[in-house]
Formats: sequence, structure tokens, C-alpha cells
Amino acid sequence: MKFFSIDNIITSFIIITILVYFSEYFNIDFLDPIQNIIQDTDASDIVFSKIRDKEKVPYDTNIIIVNIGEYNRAEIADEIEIINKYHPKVVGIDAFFLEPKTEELDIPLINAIFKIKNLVLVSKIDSLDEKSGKYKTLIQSHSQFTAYGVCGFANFISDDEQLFRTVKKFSPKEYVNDSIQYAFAVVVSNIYNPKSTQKFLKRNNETEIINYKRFLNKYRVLDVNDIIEKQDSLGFIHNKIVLLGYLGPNIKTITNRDAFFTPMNDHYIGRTFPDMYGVLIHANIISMILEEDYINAMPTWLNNLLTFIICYFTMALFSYMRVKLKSLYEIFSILIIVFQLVFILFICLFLLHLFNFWMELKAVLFVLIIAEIVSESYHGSIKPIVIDAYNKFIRKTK
Amino acid sequence: MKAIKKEYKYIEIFKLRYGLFDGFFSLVLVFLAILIIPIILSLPIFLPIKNTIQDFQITDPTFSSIIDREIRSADTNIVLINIEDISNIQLAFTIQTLNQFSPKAIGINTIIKNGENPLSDTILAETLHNTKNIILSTRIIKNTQTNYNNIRSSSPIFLKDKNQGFSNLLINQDKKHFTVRQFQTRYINNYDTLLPFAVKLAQIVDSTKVKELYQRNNETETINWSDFKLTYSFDAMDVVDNPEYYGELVKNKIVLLGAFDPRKDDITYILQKRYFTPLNKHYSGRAFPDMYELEIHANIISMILHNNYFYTVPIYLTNLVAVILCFLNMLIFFYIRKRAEDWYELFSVILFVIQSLLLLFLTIVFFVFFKTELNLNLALLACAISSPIYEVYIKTMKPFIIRIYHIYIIKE
Repeated sequence: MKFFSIDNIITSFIIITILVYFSEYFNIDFLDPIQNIIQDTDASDIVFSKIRDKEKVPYDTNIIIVNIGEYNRAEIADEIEIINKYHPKVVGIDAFFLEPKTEELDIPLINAIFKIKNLVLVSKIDSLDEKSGKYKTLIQSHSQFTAYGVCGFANFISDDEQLFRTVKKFSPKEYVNDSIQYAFAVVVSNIYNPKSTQKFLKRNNETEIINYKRFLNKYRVLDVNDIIEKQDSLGFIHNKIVLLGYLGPNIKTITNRDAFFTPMNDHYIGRTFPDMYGVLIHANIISMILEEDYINAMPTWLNNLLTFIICYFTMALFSYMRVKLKSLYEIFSILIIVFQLVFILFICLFLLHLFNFWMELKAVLFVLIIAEIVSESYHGSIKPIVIDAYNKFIRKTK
Repeated sequence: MKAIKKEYKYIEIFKLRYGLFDGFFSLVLVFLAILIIPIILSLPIFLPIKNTIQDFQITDPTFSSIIDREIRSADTNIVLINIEDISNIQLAFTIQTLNQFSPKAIGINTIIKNGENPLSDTILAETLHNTKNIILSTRIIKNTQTNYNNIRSSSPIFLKDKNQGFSNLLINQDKKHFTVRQFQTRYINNYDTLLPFAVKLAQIVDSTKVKELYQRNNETETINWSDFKLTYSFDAMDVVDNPEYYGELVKNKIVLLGAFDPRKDDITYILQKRYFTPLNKHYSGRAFPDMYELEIHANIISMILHNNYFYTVPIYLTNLVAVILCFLNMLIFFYIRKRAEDWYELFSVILFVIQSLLLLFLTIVFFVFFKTELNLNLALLACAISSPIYEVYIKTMKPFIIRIYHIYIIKE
């Protein structure tokens, strides 16, 4: 009974093979509901949803969010004119102005945004070429508006469209044909604080996990009429980031157009309503960049290695117990699996909550769930049957 | 004198009577283990998981296959009329117009409050009083402080000898997190028995069908979504402005009035007005709700009038199946261990896979072809954990208990 034994290697290999090919072999339609739930959920969502104390998060005074409600372009222009008087450092507008409308609507808006010192408009990237990994289409507002500012794509790139708008990650930059496009939040941050943004971009990650901290109550928010009504007392706008976007007809009316599911949702799994507006997600990303408070994800290779190590260690432990603790093996093996599941989950939540370190847990949890079954099947059946068959074969040939 | 070390070597004997005993005790352990799961899930941090498990039904994806088969015979005798944002006087005109074309029944799925104009209220009250085949709705409002919920009705001026039915589709469950699959056939509140809005309407059209519903004696009934097809829905003011055209469409039909507009795809509106149903394209997890309350009531009415119910196997029967299946598993395990111990581990895994797939398959087949809800979740769970529990019992618990018995009680 050695730690490195052929039995442990074989059982680990079987488990890893099942892990890798399970979703292909068990791709049965009526199991889709279970698959959807498993794919949609991350154990770490519990940290954002239940563990982190949202009330203790400080206000982010760098960002002011302005609700454009159901305003038309001329009314948005009125808001911008007032905002401009207070010289914000950067104004980001999370709304599209795709086609020209009437002069009564467009001219005021053009005049207003012309005066903005640093304007960022949203764009949208589309038509991903799977082979090159580059996008083919960039959708922007009409050139009569984009001429006065820069653009950043507002898409929240999810690595699985089946997640139905649960936004956990975003892509800091993407290629559209051969040009680099940056995310809306990155462009805004870069204008406001280039040093922090460059430090963020130096991480050079394809996708970044969004470190959600704040709902609307932790930002300064101006509702649809507030700009007009309080236009003489908006001094706090000076030198700040102003984000204009949709927060409902007014922020007291809970609506969810342009809203998304995020890990901050009180129900981290299952049926629920969207919990965060798009502009608020951008605000959270900007806060993350400015505070330099990122979430570091365990690299895939390390995750795979950890999965294998845990798998092998568990198999070795089972082998040891089978010999040394024969009579207690059954109950101990179950207890060990339960303990490992709880322990690893605890470590994952602990690391994310205190150190902003994220581990992908699904593979490890899957391995632990099937470890006992595979170990028992191998040692109890497969190995004795194979040895028996081999011995019979040898006897026959002799 | 040396002290004799007490030892008892346990030797397993493969006799049937021991197999039966072992099977029985293992069975008890299985169901004890099953009882622990809800206790763990009661912790607040696991509440979303508990809600998801409670709301999950493996049969949801099959509803679309039922509907494809039966859509040709779907009921088109129910008309939905949107009365959102209309005043009481406009509602009165709508009902007066409808009355000219003798609909079978009219149901108003909103709580009618007093308007700003008392004259309009009087006209509406008079119109309602003169309309004999009309049902108003009530809402059951959760009261967290007492055991009894509150009942919210329309203003008293409109209620004069009018029949009402409660229109809640989910009682004590949040529509944000739960799917509407069943409706409650009655609600008892403080000694009053309330009937559902849809049932009251069906009663006007065909009281014998409603009697048959209550003869089934079920507290809840699973909604059969195949019977109703949304063929006609229009705005109230269209009816008033074009009575000749719309009148023919409501003649002899059941007319449901409520606040809904299927043309609106604004997410705000959808989240406020719609419910999750099993017809949702996203069977589980995150999604937007898919069906208006009025449509759901129409489905229920149609199901009652067509006698198109699901048969639900009684709980005691499904529990019995779980117990029998689990006990059979134990006997099979005993037999395999006796005859071919080398094959036991592999066999138990294969048996679990086959049983699970078979149970799921049977659940779906019975649901789709025989309109029967088998509800074999307990059986599935019991089969899943029967093998590990059996092994824990046979290899650990039983030898331990016997050893203790011989060393300390019999003192061998």
C-alpha cells in the first residue's frame, strides 16, 4: 500500500476521464434543467449575495449616476448642459443614438455634447469570428454624435450565452477586425485616472471577474428631475465621473429594462428578477478599476492541477483506509467526502471574501462527488474481475 | 494471571432471514438520512437552493410536446380584454357593450376601486348589478402578524350581491421565485371558504363540470396548459368603439377582463404582469416570466370545462413505491454479495444509473401520454443513496453492533 501506486493512478485517471467527457455522454434533453442550474450557478455567488456586508461598503464619491429615464434627446441635452456647467472630468452616456431624428431633438444634443470636455459614448461589438477570436462589427451611435467623443463597448461578455444575462465577468478589450476596442468602463476610467487604468490593463487578462460591491444606494444618484430641480446645487459634480443611463422612469419605480442578473442578487440560484441596471454594472467596474480592488482568478492550469491533486490524494486516502481501517472504511469514506466538500467550499468562499481570490469549483466538487463510487467500483469489482480473468487466461494458455 | 483480551470476530452469514433484517434496517437508515436533508436546507444561506429544488420539475420541458399534439383542439371560446388604465366609466361602457352580445360569462380580474367621479362609480355599480353572469376578483394578501391572511375586494359599492373568486395564483409564494403549476381549488380563511376566480366563472358556464372538479377532492390541481390558445385579445375601448365587429367575437364566449397587453414587450411590464409557467423556454434558472395572469385563468377555465385534468398519484402510493423499491434494492444487493461479491460494486452503480433513468423516463412518459404525475422524487432519492447506506450498514454498523453485543452483553 503505497502513496504512489498503480491503483491510485488508474482510479484517478477514470475520474478525470469521466469529468472531461461526462457532459458529452450525458447530454440528454430532459436533464437540461439540471445542467442549466449547474452552469448558471457558482458557489462564489454566495459571497456576493449573502456573505459580504453591503451596508459596510463605503460610498464611491468619484461617480455620479444620472437617470435619463424616458427622456428624449432634447431633454437629455438639457441635463447635459446643466452638468457641463460644473465641469465634470468625464461624462459617459450609456445610451445609443443610432439614427438621426428631427432637428428639434438632435441639434440641442449635439450642441450639449460638443461642450463636454471628455465624452465617452457606448458602442456594441458583434459577430464574433470563432476562428480568429475577433469581432467583425462595431455598432456605434451616429457619427454626428460620436464626432465629439470616444467610444467604449458596453457589451458584458459572458462566456456562455445560456446564462441569460447573468453578468459575472467582462472583457476589458476586444479586437474588432484589426483594431482594439476597450470596454466602456475602461475608457471612462482611463480618462479619469490613467495610472489606475493602465495598472489594470497590465494584468492582461482576457476577461475579468467583476468585483461587485455597490447597489445604487452607495453612489450619488440623480433622478430624472433632480438635475433640473437642483441645478444650482450640483457642485459635487466638479471633476467627477458622470454616468448617464437608464434607471427606470424614475428610481423609485422598480423597473428592469436594460437590467441584468448579477451575483449580488439575493437569490443566487434559481428563478428571480434582474437586480442591476447596465449603467450600475459599469459603475461597479469603474469603482473596481479606480480602487484597484480586483478579483484574481486561479489560472486554469492551476485549477486543473489542483483538481488532479485532490482527486489523487482522495484515492490514496481511500486505499490507505481500505487496508488500515477496513471495518470503518465505508462510513469514513463518506465522512471524508462530506468533510472535503465543506472544507473546499469554505476555503473558496474564504479566499474570495477576504483575499479576492476566485477558484473555479465545479470540477473539484464533481470529482469529490464521484470519487467514492469510482474507488469502490474499481477496488470492489473492476480490479478483482480483471485479475481473475487474467489468471484464468494465463492458466488456459499454460 | 494474564487478563484475557476480549475479542469477537464478526463473520458474515448469508442467510435469507439475515438478508431481510439487513434490508429492513438499511431501509430505515435510508429514510432517516433523507429526513436530514430538509433540515440542512432550512438554513437561511441555503434558502435560494431550497426554493430552486422546490420549484424544480423534471416534467417542465415536456409541456411543449403536449401542446404540439393538442393545439388543434385548443379552446378558443375565451376572449381576453385589456382594461388597463381605463376609468370606471369606460369599464361600465365596456361591460354594457359586451352585454349586448350575450357572452356566456364575464370575469373582471382587477380590484375595482372608487374613481374620482362618484357618478361614474354609480354607473359602473349599476352596470355590474344588471349583469347577472359576472364574477369579480378578490386578492388574498399575506398577513405576517396573524395566522389569517387578509382578503382585498373591490369597493363595497360594486359588490352588491356579486359573486367573487380569489384570483391569486400563488398563495404564500413569491412570484419572483416560483413557477405557477397548480391552482388551489379552495381557500379557507377564518372559517370562510373561498373559491378561485376561474372556478367561479366555469361554474356559470357549466356547473356540472365544477361539481366534477370538486368530486376529485383535491386541494390543488395541476394546470393543463394545452387547452387554451390565446386567439382573441383586444383593448376595451376597441370594443366600445366598434361594437359591431367585436361584438360577434364575444358572442357566447367567456370574456375575461384584466390589465394585460400581450403586445408590450417592455421588460418592466413583463416582470410586473407575468408569471413563470412550465411553458417558459428557459426551463430552470434565470429567465423572464412568460404568461399573464389572465391567460393562466383562461387555461384553468378551459381545463375545467374540458375535464382535462392530470391525475396525481396519491402521496402514500409514491412513498410506498419508494419504500418497496428501496427494499428490493437491499435484497438485490444482498443476493449479489452472496453470489458474486466481485460484481457487487459495479453492479450497484449500474443499477442506480438504470433505475434513475427508468424512473425519469417513466415520469415523463406517464406525464406526456397518460396525463399522470408520478412524483417519483422520493423513490429516486432513496435509490440514489440506498447503495452507500447499505454498505455503511453491512460493513461498519452491523459488525460493530454485533461485536459490542457479544463482548459486553453476552460476554463471550
